[in-house]
Amino acid sequence: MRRKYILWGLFILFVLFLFLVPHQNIKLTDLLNTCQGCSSTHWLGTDNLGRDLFALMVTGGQRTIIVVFLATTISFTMGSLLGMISAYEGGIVKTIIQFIADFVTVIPSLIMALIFSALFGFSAPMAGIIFGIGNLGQYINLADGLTSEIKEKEFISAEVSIGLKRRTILFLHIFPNILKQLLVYLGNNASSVVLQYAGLAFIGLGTDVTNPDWGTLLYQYRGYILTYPRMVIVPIIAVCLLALFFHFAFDDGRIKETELTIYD
Amino acid sequence: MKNVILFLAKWVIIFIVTSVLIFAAVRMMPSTPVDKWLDAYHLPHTEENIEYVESKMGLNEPLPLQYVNWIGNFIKGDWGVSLVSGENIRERFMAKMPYSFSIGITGILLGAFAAFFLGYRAALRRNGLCDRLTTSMTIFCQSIPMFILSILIINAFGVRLGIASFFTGDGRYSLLAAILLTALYSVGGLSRVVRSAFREEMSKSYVKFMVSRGFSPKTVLWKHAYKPPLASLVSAIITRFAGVFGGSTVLEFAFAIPGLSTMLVSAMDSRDYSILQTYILVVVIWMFFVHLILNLFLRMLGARRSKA
Repeated sequence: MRRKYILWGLFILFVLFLFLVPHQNIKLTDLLNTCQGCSSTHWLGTDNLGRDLFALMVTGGQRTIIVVFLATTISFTMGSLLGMISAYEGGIVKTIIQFIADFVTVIPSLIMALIFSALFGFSAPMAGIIFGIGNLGQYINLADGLTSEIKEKEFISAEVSIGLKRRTILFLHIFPNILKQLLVYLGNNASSVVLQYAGLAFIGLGTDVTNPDWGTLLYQYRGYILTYPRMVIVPIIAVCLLALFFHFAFDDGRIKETELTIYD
Repeated sequence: MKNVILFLAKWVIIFIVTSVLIFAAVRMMPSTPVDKWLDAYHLPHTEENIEYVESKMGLNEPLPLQYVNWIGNFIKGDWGVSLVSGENIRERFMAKMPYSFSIGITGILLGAFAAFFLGYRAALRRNGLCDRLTTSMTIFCQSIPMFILSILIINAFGVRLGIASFFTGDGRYSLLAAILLTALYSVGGLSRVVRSAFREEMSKSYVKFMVSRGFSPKTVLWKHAYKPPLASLVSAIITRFAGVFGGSTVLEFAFAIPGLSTMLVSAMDSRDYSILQTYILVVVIWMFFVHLILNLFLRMLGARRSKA
């Protein structure tokens, strides 16, 4: 548990740092000082146009955080709500919600994001919303499956028979029981959103080079991998660390005594 | 029988809803296909020209009629022509499909095959070698984007060692690398799915009973408990196959493979809406077949419709 507090503390510090740290103008080019190494004026050096790499990384990080936040919030809240309702109500409601889940999974979210960003302009909130909707199906299926299991338990039928409100049962008694598994999935999902967004920016459709993303930076600098590896390595490390953080912050590796089998 | 009808009805509805949505989205674009066509032939945007092109493309008819015509022609096999180059879209799709499909299908099946064995070994010995290997592979795939690995592979094999040429020649190295990468990125997650399904079987009483009677634990698991894990593997693959179109985009782009996704990206760049419309319909039809075949397979395994 201690490890998790440390991780979350570091993460909050990191986000505050990203949004509060003063950085240089990312649009300022300086063709006399291109591809400089690290120095006190340019913490991570400058790129092929003489822009400050640190400022570019910070701006890219802000955009990535916005995307991850929007995407996971949308799919987590809507997905678990719809999934719980679907399993609890059954019947026609379940059919409709199941249809929505199938529908959003059919078209891959990367393709949806490609289409919408190319057509209506590429922006971080837009990408976040599309990833959020695209990943909805998985959450619905997961929440649906977990709720169906819980619903069979005796304490739920006891609560129904003493006349508790449906809302109370769903949110106060079923939701806490399935939250743990949902959070593990949320962690995996958050890291995959980081990767998807970097991939989308790497393809670079409709991207505005003055709004740098980690993926965009990688695409722009990929030609310098032999001459100035620093410019490629910095975004790679950033993407990997953020994704790893999400994986470990939500992962719960411990095994319960009851889960041990005859094979152990 | 009732299930079959429900399944078909669901897919017909999905097809209709998706096609209406993309049809509407294309009509809401800031720049119209007519402008696109006139630009492509360097013609001035006079009223006469616009009117002529509109009647030529059938854009002056009422919207519902246009929609019906479009879908009707699509089903008959006439997928229209590209707005920019005037090429036949169907021929173009047919030429590009083998690349995307061979990457996706071979890669995922290869990955699933390896995942089943690795998952079995991982379940057999908790915290053993295979268990750790699959866990670290999962974490690896979740933290390192595919395209970064592609850049490194191109750099290592193409530039440093010089044993494979990725951007010249017939592109077979690119294809091979893309297939192997797809497989690598499927193995981690899928093997964990197999592992947890095997572990669930392990705790069941029939397994306990057979092991207590003296059957070897390995044989019991391999010969008698393989069906549920296989079923979970198959249902996990279904969602992966959606990624044949989505996931291969980055790979095709990185290795410059002339597949469907590369075509889509260039079509988006030039705002070629007719390709975009068709592409979405093809994705839906592809997913229909994936669901159909894999659900039949699940049925054969005797599983109920499983939750992902």
